[in-house]
Amino acid sequence: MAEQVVINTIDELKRFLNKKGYLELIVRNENGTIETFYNVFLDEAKKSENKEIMQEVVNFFVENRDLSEKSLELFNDLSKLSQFNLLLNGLNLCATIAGFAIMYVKIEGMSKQIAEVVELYKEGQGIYVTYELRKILSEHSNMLDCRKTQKPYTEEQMRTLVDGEYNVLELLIDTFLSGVSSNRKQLLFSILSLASMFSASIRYFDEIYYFENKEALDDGEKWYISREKWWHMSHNKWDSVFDRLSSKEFINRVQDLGLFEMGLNTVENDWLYIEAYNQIRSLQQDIEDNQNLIIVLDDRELVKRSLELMKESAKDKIESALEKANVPAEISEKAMQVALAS
Amino acid sequence: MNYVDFVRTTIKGLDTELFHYLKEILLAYEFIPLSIIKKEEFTVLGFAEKLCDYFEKVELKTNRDFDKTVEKYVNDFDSIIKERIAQEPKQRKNREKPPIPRARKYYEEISVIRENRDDPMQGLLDYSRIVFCLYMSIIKNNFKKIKDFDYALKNLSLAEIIKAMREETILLGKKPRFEAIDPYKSDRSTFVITVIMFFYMKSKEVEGKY
Repeated sequence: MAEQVVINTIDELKRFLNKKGYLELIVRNENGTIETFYNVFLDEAKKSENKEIMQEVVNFFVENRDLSEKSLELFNDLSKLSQFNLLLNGLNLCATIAGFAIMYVKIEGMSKQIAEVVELYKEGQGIYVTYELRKILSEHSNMLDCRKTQKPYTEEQMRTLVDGEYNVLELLIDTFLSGVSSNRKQLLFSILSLASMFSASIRYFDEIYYFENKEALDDGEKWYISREKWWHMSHNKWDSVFDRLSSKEFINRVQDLGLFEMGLNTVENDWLYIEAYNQIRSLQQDIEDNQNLIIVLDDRELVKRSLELMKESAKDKIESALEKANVPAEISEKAMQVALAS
Repeated sequence: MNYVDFVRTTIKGLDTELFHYLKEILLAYEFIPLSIIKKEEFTVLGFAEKLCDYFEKVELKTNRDFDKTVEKYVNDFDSIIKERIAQEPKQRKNREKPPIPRARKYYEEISVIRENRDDPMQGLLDYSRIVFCLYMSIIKNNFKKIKDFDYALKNLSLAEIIKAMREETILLGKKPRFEAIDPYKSDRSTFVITVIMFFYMKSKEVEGKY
């Protein structure tokens, strides 16, 4: 006869998890035959498994493989999908798989690099940098959570988040341009992913701001005559970041990074800096497209539903991007699981 | 590297349009002389064969193998850019070391890049890309010394590079830098390799707005 166990807490169940991290349950029919099998994931275990999967995907893209034309192509294909970040809400991750995850995993290392620069400038703010980064990542996740669960996230909260992301991004760009950082490859991907987060926040902020204030902002003029009037002042911050990221100085640094520090040949280096530039431009385009969507549909629910539809079509594109980049099936499957987790 | 491998590698990846321009430019400047066949009659393979014949003739005429012809191409470019790249500024006493000009950093790196032992063709491609870009920036700066340069492939103009090379002089402007009369002299082969490398580079161009 089987041993009987009394369970009081979820923790006590953990010792029954199999090697793959889930509990196997069998439900029998009245006559004792097996009706069905269940693989039961404990919430916490699943989360940590997701984290591991994410780590594995990041390793695939960044650490264990040389930066090849294919992986850069993939990076770009994924990041081109403006709706992609919506798919990552399940894990409270946004931006690209590679980019955000690097930032998530490498936060300690990055903070140290920024602290070095701040130290160099003798601004004495080094100790706050880690705190600021953590705060921003956590607040961005909170914002995505609120969207997912349809809890209110106010204009004021959005403004604070956007300001925070802007400040951290400026710090990262300063660090990258100063040239003193010891791992600028990692820093570049972090900048691109934070820029992607920042652009997502701006887009959500646009949505909130427009629907909260459209009556007050409407002066009877056709919407396309003075487009700026519909949007919040934080766009100035985005414009300034966009200008810096698409500047000759920044792109020159990316070119130098590829050739001197990453050891890329000239063709691979073209992939690196041109794709980085394309990605920055596509973020700008995403913001404009989103504004058009909001203003043309002029209905909160319709906007939401349209974004949902885009999410569906993004799934196919991500799958085909992974396939095109020859990502091994196992990793590809895991990446999709993470991306589509809900 | 021998000329057959060189021609095969560089020509086979060209699309119809790039091949057309490669052929037009080599023939329009009379870098490759024709006796009987008309330029319209060339197929890709036929023209590749013609290029091999050309390099074979250069070998016979100069009594040097193809590696030496490539070496001459490398040295020719070095001779027209080296004096036009700003030097590393000297460090003043008790002052921080000034940064090395970006163009100098790339110039210093090209000899390392050229020595790509795993893939000599990639080494030559990388070398050509950087010297073309440095030279293009020198041209745009009215042949004065440059500190920075434009690395973007899309801003390279082969016509301007060839024009500037043809106008290069030595002996205080009394003599052209490159001998242009005999098509099989190694000076002329530098132009031929320049044109081929330019189109090879173009065949690998990454699309983008920058």
